Amino acid sequence: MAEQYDVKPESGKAARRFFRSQLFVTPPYPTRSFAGETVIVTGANSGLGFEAARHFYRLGCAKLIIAVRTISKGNSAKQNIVQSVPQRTDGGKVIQVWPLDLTDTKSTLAFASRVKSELGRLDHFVANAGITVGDKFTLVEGVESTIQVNVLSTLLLALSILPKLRDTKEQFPASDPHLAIVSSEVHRFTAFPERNESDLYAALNDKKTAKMGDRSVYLIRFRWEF
Amino acid sequence: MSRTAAARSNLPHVTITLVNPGLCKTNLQGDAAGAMKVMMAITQFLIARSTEKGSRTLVAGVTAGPESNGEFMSDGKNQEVEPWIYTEAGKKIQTKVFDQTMKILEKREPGIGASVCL
Repeated sequence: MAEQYDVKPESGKAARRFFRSQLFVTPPYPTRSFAGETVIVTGANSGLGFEAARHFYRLGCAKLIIAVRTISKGNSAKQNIVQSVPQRTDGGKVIQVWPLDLTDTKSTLAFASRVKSELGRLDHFVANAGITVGDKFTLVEGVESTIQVNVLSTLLLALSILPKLRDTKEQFPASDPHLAIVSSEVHRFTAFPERNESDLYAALNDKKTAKMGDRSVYLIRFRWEF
Repeated sequence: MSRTAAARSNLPHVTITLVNPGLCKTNLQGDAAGAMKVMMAITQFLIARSTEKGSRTLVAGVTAGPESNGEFMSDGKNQEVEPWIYTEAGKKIQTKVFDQTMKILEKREPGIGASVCL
């Protein structure tokens, strides 16, 4: 039997922190210029990715890639962003909409390839795209869908483009590249029930034992020394 | 492991952050149903941040200084992750997750570990 781990999430403390943050803390309005920089935001046709893309455009980025599953939604988002920032007139050229489907490894790898071959530089990558499915258990490529999208494809893509971020720093020393992965404090509320299994992914992909409630945002945190 | 760690320390610096946007008004909870959906709608209405305010944390994630490298960030600032992750058990779980995940990623893109010096 695999080694068993005793894990106690501090849910009470996490809940209090969550409410304090939600009710009393507002993140400051971004003002730092992104002039000359290339930024990619995944899942940017709506929600957080969309608004973040708008900030980057407003703050003068040289190139902005909006990565979406449905191109028409990406184009609508682009239009909306361009119209909302009237002080810029170059939105048509600056903002590009690229297809990306994180349920599909081929699409994920094709996107990474395109980043490496088409972009002269990449300064910031925001891995924002993610899904929740409630109780619905589906397998894509033999993997439970939220694990496929939020963990495996997200990490595959992040690691695939990381060399491009490093190359950018080398070629453009003034660059300060970042890879931001959107996560959640919801991690505080789960004891990661599959942790004691010898084969984590077999457990995660087993419909019979899947605890979907713990997966609402299942972004497993890696602490790598980069 | 120490060889690769040293190799990594000579690499051009990229800051990697994990961003917590908080509870925001977005479509993420869109697939809930029934009572869950009603509860989420009420919670969202009462305490969720606007999408734009939530998005500021994403921007903060890419403007953070090197002290945020490898860090989880809430409200635009470094924050500790859940305490159990820092325990011995937590570290072992991390290693387990890392090893098993990299095995899958290597199948999907052979050489990916080496390409990022992992």
